Amino acid sequence: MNNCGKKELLVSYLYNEASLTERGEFEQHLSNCAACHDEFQAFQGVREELSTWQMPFVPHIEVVTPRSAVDALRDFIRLVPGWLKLTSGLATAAAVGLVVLALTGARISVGSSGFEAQFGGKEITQVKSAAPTVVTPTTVQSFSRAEAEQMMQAAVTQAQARAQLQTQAQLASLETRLNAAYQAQLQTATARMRQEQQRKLQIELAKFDNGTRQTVTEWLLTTTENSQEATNNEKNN
Amino acid sequence: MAESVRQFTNMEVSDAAEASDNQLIARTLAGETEAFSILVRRWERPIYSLTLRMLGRDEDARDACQEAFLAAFRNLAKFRGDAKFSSWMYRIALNACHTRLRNNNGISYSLDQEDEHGRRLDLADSKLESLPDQLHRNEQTQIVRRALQALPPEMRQVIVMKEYEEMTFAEIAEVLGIPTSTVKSRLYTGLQQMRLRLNHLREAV
Repeated sequence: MNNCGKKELLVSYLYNEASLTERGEFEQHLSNCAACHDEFQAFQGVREELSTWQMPFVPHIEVVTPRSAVDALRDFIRLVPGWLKLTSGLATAAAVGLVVLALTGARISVGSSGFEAQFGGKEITQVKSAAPTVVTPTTVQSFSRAEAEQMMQAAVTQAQARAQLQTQAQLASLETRLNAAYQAQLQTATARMRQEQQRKLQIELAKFDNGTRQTVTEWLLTTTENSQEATNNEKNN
Repeated sequence: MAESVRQFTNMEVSDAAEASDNQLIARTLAGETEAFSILVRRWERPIYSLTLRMLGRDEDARDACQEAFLAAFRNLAKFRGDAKFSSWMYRIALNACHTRLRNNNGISYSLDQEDEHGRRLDLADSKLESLPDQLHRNEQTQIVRRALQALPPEMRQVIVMKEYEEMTFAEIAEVLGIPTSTVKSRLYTGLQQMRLRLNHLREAV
């Protein structure tokens, strides 16, 4: 055991942390103190032995740190497609706007003079519609449930009447077109029948001699003219 | 952690590698947890070295190292820039070691049978006798390890920081929050005890 009172100086000298003055002082002491000299040499041996324990490798230290909300949000935004970012951004802005309006007690109504907004029961702004309208003094209307139902009923009735008129017009148009088609087909069929009759008549006339054929032809022409006159008279009537 | 790590661009990695400890801390506190990973990579070697020499076993050293870095991450907001991050980190690592030592009643377990990696080892193992150099190296390392582990933690930590971390007396004093003279005194006593224990162990072998 060293009782020289030079412990700290010995340690400083051993690890090369002694000042120049301390070094000179301790080196002089070492030359005179066998105990300190032995201890100093022994400590140097201890240091050499300590240095034999080398660290062969350093393991990869895994530290699982919790992800921050910012990181999570950043990753989420990076993975989301652009169109969804835009949509969600607009939706978020709209939602925030609605929340703000709700919190401020805002009420938006539509009057004859355009959109009107009220915040906390006090009218602040009035946004008029772009179409030129005659500006008349109006007040913000608030409807009761019964009034709203009545208005709804009136609107439904009006819509039904409009739909009925449209249906009737479509039916009339369809009937006209059908009649026209029917008349055209009737005329075609009539013309064909006449042609067929004439063809058969000519075949029959061919079987007669000339005198008989002329007589029958004149008779037929007379009958046909009479029937045409009768038909024309009927049409005129 | 792999899935949570954002892919750095080359520029970001370069920036992060060149950033100072305090800059990386600021970035971590701003929510960029990847910056802390750079700090871990930067300091894992000295911190693992400290915990290994303090605890003596690789498994314990890794666990203490992880605990230390995790504790540092959780308490990063408490770190004050007036001290060095390394000093703060060493202090946290030492606390993790002391907690383990307390929980294991001084951790003098298995020192006679296992090496630092937990492998069973007998100094007179016949398998090693045919390899004189390896035997000598292993014997020497085991003697040092056992002698060091037998020291009181207060002395052991000073020797470890001085011998293996090559810290100055002032740096050790800062980490431990004690005067430099106390550091030197503990170091002196520790070296004395090491000398005695090493002699004893060599004679036993």
